[in-house]
Amino acid sequence: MSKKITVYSNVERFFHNHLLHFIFFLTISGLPILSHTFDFIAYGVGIPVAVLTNNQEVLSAGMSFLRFIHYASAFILTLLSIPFTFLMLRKFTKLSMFPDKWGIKATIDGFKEMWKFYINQDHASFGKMNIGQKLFAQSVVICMLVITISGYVLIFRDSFSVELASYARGAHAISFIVLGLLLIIHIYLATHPVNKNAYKAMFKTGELDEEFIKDHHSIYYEKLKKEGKVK
Amino acid sequence: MSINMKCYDTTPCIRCFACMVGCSTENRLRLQRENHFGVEKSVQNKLEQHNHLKPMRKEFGIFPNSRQVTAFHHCNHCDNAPCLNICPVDAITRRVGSIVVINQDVCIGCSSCVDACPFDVPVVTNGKAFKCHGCYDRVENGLKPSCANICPTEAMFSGTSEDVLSEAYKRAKLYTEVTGKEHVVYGAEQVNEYVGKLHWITIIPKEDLEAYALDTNPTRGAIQVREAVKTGGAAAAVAIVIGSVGHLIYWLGKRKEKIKQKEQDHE
Repeated sequence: MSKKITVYSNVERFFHNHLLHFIFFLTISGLPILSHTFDFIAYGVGIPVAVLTNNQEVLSAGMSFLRFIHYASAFILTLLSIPFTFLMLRKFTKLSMFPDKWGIKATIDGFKEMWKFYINQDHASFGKMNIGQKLFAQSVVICMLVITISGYVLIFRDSFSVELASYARGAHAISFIVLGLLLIIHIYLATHPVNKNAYKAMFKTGELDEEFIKDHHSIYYEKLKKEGKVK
Repeated sequence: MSINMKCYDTTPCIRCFACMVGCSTENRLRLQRENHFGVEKSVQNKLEQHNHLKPMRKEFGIFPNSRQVTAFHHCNHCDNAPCLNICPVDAITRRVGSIVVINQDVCIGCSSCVDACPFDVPVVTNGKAFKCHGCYDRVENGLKPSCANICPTEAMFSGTSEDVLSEAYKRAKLYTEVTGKEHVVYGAEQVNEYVGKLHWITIIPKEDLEAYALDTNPTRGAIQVREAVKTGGAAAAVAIVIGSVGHLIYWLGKRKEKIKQKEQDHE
């Protein structure tokens, strides 16, 4: 039987899996503020809230309740993110979101490997993450930072100028839209049959077979060999 | 009801501020009449959110060549009102006659209108947004808005857009001829795409536009970009979903082919 290698620590899996819940609540509660297309969410929530609070304005009642959910989710997620951020900063230089090799040629080669794997279905040479995953992770970090900072500017808007609050509102929405688009791609690729082992590792065991890593993540396997984690 | 318009003419204005007193008084009467405020509470409390017409006094130059300007800060009831467009709960509506009004019973105090307004007009107090409502209750019952009603010099006047525009252009032409300074009617033509035309126009010497804080290109860049990204984002989301489904179909077909190929190679 092939040796199991831990690829996602318990902390990483805990944060990722709970981040999922928070993003769900933040998205559901934020979309109606972003666009009237999603008013149905506020109406859906608003009907019981309006009945319970004796408020005749259903949309208004729903939106107020969703704002509360948005603030609460954002606050708890911020608290949860603080220890996780410190843990990640401790191994900052070793984070797999950074390129295995730097430079334009290495980046182009990374995309060629992705094409080989996802389009031609040939064997490709990847690190722990492929170039697409690395770019995704970097973009998510940037978007989350912008969303968090702009969100807190909007909550404590009385301490800032109207212009800054206006910029924060724009930045909050734009970074959410970028993040949302990236998440659609992320969810598609994460649930794609070709990634079922990684999916299982993230949501169940945190481990991958040594043979699987050797076959699918050869650069990562070499790195593990150098570190003495595999023979 | 035809489109209602208000005009402020800077030339006959004697800075008596009766318009502001009228606005404040009318709003306090509304509080007593509709919100069951006691007379004492509605008169003694500052209630700044109910003063929709605010003076901004500025001095220009050095004495004896100095002059004082009192600009008015108020809602312009934009044709393409950004506050109305951004409000997530439809608390801001356009009344018959084009007056833009905030319904405080619906408002949730999210401050979206504050961020979208390029004139910095709406104020949020106690979780509700406030701004000039154009005395829509008076106008819809055949009365003038309180500021125009009280003005002793006809510097503030209102009526249908045809009447107000024709009077405003007539006055601007006269002032230009008499003073030799070009007078314009700010807001009568489209100011820019973000706000469109205004329903509160101002007759003013062209050279004084800046002194009276009448922005010739009022915008909120971040909000404009936000709206553009929203449209682009929706198109991109559809493209990504279609692309993902297309990739999955392609990938499954290719996989079948590969398995078939492998089986043939084995045979």
